[in-house]
Amino acid sequence: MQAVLLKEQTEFILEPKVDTLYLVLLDKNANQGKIKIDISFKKMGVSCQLLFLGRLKNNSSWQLESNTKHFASKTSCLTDAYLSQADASRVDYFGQIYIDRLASQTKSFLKEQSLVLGKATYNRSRPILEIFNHKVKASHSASSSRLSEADLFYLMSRGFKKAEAQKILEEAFFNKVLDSIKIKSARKLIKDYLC
Amino acid sequence: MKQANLKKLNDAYANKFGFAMPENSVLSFDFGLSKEIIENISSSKNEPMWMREFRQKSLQIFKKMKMPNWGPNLAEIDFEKIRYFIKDTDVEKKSWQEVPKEIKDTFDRLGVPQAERDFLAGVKAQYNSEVAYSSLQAELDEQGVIFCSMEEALQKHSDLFKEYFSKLIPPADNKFAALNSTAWSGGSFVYIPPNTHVKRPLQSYFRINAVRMGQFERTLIIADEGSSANYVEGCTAPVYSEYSLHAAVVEVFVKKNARFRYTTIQNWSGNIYNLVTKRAKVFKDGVMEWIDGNLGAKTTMKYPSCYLAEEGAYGEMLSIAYAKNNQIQDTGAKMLHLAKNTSSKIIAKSVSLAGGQSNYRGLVYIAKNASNCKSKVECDALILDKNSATCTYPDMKISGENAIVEHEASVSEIEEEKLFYLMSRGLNKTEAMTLLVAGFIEPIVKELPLEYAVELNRLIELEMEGSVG
Repeated sequence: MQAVLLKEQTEFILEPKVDTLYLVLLDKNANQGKIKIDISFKKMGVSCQLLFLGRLKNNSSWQLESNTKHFASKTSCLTDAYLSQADASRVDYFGQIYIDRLASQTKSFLKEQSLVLGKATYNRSRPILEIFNHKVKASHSASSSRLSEADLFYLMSRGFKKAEAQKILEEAFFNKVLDSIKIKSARKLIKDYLC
Repeated sequence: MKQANLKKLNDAYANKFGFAMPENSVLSFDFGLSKEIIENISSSKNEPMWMREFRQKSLQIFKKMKMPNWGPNLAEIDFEKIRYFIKDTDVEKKSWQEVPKEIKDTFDRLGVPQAERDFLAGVKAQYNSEVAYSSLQAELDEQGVIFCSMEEALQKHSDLFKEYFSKLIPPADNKFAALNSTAWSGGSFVYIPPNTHVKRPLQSYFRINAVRMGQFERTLIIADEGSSANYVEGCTAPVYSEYSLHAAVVEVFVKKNARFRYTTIQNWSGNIYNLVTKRAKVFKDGVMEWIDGNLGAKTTMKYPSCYLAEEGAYGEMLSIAYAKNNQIQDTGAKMLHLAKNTSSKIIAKSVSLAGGQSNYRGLVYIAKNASNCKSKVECDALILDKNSATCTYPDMKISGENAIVEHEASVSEIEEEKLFYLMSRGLNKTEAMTLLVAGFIEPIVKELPLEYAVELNRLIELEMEGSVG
């Protein structure tokens, strides 16, 4: 599997020929941004992973869109979006999975997780499934939640200040992603981004 | 191909549970919608001036509003070819013996007959556009519960009626709400007094029995503080070749600490457009539960919603959609969290087969001032063959502080291993698949009243016959 960092553009039209990990790291310093990614599977047996990572602060506002379209059989895709939202940051995510009538034995999954750290954040999530073949497995999930009060309390009872405890838990949230990435170069990119 | 499938569905429906009675209406109006027809409806019902004005204003709104530009194709609906009012019985019948034989036969086949009546708290059966039969048991009267037709409520409980009517779904809400507001006829009015608990379900049946006839019943329910009740509505329709339209409006007010459950089993025949607007407003610590089974109709668009307006309110939606033979079941739910500490749950299951398409369309909205809200959404879809489809279109808008929102959706086919196991125990493929489909929808079926659960399982069994392999 190869890793490809998607950057310096707002729209990407991709047609993977070999197994690929596409990585999108949202600019931490940008006030706003818009990224649209279209992935079309036209070659049989190809699999890929699309990963959005973002640590959003202040009033930053992002519009994210992923359209995964399966036209060939035995293709698979895993789309993940891991976002932490501090202050008054805003995210609007649209994620589509389309499986064509010809694309049997397809697997496609989408997962969006937002960790809410701020008090005035806004999160909109629209994960869409359009399935026109019965020999498939497809699912999506989206969740938006705050840091666990119990976890915060535990860390603070061990002497951490609230801000430090929050940081540790935020790191733990992103470490779940890091653990699932096997490609060294991609792991390094993610580690550098999270620092 | 579509026509052939529709004919096949209709024939199957006729053989299994379809029936059509000759039209024999006491009063009916011409096709199409005009000021005069609406005025005639008002006159025939002897309505007060405010309702006449409301209908006429709604007509103007209806004419101005456009058809929805999303969802299934509704281009086939021609509002000029619909008859907007038919009254089967010129007076509402108070005893079963007085109900005309044709209508009685129809209800017998629907399952309203003697044996079931004994177990029901009250039966309001709507035939065409008017309430044809009603029997309110003494138990309800003693409790002070009002369960009557909308027409009766407008005459006898006018203040209460006016206070709540159209307050939750105004005519301008959508084109079909406007249509209903101008042409509404029949439907149930329910008022549960404070701290009153109605133990047995309040039950209604709705039917359409005329070609090109629209049915626009309107239901208004008020569960006052601390009360609880369960309302059950079921539909089925005879076979006819031309399309028909059902555009109902249901408004439910669940007051402080009240609990209300609204159960629907929709089994219109395969030529009906079923476009329904249902909404509940839930006050402090109130609980509203929608249970929705959509099996029939050519196209269904129905998204019951809960406006969780005060602290501690809870909304729940459990739904099953069953799409077959080019049917489109476009269903879902909307939960609007408008106050703090409110919570909601949506569980939607769908089965698509033989060219059917089931869609889930839903909204979870958490307002900025609504802190500590929780919402959970689960959508599971089963596709049984290569000609069918399923889509989910959820939308989650979250502004409130400390909100926890979860959404999960999955699509799968019937697992080969399970099928193989059941067939190895002697079941044929159809029986095995029927059993697995029944198991898939069981979490929702078990919430239905017993007679509905039995009927639903029987319907699934009948629908699965001949559709496998």
